[in-house]
Amino acid sequence: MISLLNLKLALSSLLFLSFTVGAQEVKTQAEKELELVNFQKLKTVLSQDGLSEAAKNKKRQVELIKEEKKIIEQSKYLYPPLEVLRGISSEYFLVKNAQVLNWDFDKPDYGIDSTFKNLLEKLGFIQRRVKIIVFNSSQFIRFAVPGKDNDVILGLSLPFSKSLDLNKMEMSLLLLEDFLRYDMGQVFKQLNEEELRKIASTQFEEKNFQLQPVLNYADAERVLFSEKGFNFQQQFELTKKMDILLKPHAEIWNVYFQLLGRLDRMIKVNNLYKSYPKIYPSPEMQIKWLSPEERVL
Amino acid sequence: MRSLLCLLISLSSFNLQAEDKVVGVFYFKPLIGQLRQNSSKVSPALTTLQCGHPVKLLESSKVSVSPEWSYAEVSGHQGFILKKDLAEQRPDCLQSKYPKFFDGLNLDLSDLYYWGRLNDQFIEFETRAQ
Repeated sequence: MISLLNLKLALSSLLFLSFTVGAQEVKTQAEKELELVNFQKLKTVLSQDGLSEAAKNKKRQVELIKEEKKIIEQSKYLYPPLEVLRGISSEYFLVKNAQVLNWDFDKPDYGIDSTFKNLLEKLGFIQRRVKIIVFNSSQFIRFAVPGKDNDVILGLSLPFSKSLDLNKMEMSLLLLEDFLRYDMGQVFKQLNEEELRKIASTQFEEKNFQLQPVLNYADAERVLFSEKGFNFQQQFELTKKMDILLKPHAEIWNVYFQLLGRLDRMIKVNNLYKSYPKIYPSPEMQIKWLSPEERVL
Repeated sequence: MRSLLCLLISLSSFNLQAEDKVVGVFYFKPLIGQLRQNSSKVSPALTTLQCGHPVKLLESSKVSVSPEWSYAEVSGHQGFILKKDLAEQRPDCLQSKYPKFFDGLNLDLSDLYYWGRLNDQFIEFETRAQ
């Protein structure tokens, strides 16, 4: 009987023990789960795996991208540099005065590009980019304005060229005058660039965008080549420059001298071009400046 | 009869377009330009395009082009474009470099039209050492 009781006791204690062990195992599992949400431990694991460093790198990358995005966004609100602003203004002048200048017409190939190119190269103007536009109007006669692609835009009136019955070389010599006027900085001096300089390559806010400097520059070009023109000093300097450049090429110099004579005679009789000496003073003076001094014996 | 005629016309135009073979995709270089109806600088414009616009170059047995022009397709229009205005790589355009400035120019339809025509009217060259 006692032995049976002992056996029961042993069995129950065994059951209790096994229960206790089972309870201990459940706790361990819970602890394991707790470990998973134990961030301190997780941090250690992550740092051991190098994931923490990777996360830092990623954060740095994101910051860099954000910074670059900001720079890109800011760069959208930039005015172009002065050279581009000048060129855009010049094309704006041509576009806004398209109907007055009447440059959109079917023109034959006058061959002035090759003649003028050869002339420039002969005179030592290398790697210069030139755009020529022939227009069918007498309201403007000639012009030289800055282009946006590091070039110069030269304009020449077809009716004016026809009135003088100009050949390719004579047209090229008139274009050369304008090219030099541009090259010597006379055009820039006559156009007030202050406003364009102020905004060039600067940043603007959407609300404070200024188009007026571009419009003013384009209008200044219109006024310069249709009304204001150049002064005697500038014209004298230009004529002397032409003289120096063409002197070694006697034949071309002679063509130029003869051309000025014809030009002088034409503007004195043709009312259509009576404003010419006001803009380019004056062929008569140019002839005097070019003529050899008379010596009294 | 009328509908048959229409069908014939549409079929013939389909055949004409079907003969066009795309030989490459180029990009438009100037600020603003035009796809022209004929290979002439004064030909009417079919569409106006801006710098960086993709242009499909076409080849067709029915269209002959002078050496300085290309037969091309832009936005569903087939026309002509000057070869010198096309680049193999996407060009560095003013519109993408200074987008807000370009928007600020506020060009209206007439401005866009004349700006597009202006580019083809220029006689361009660069001097070199003789």
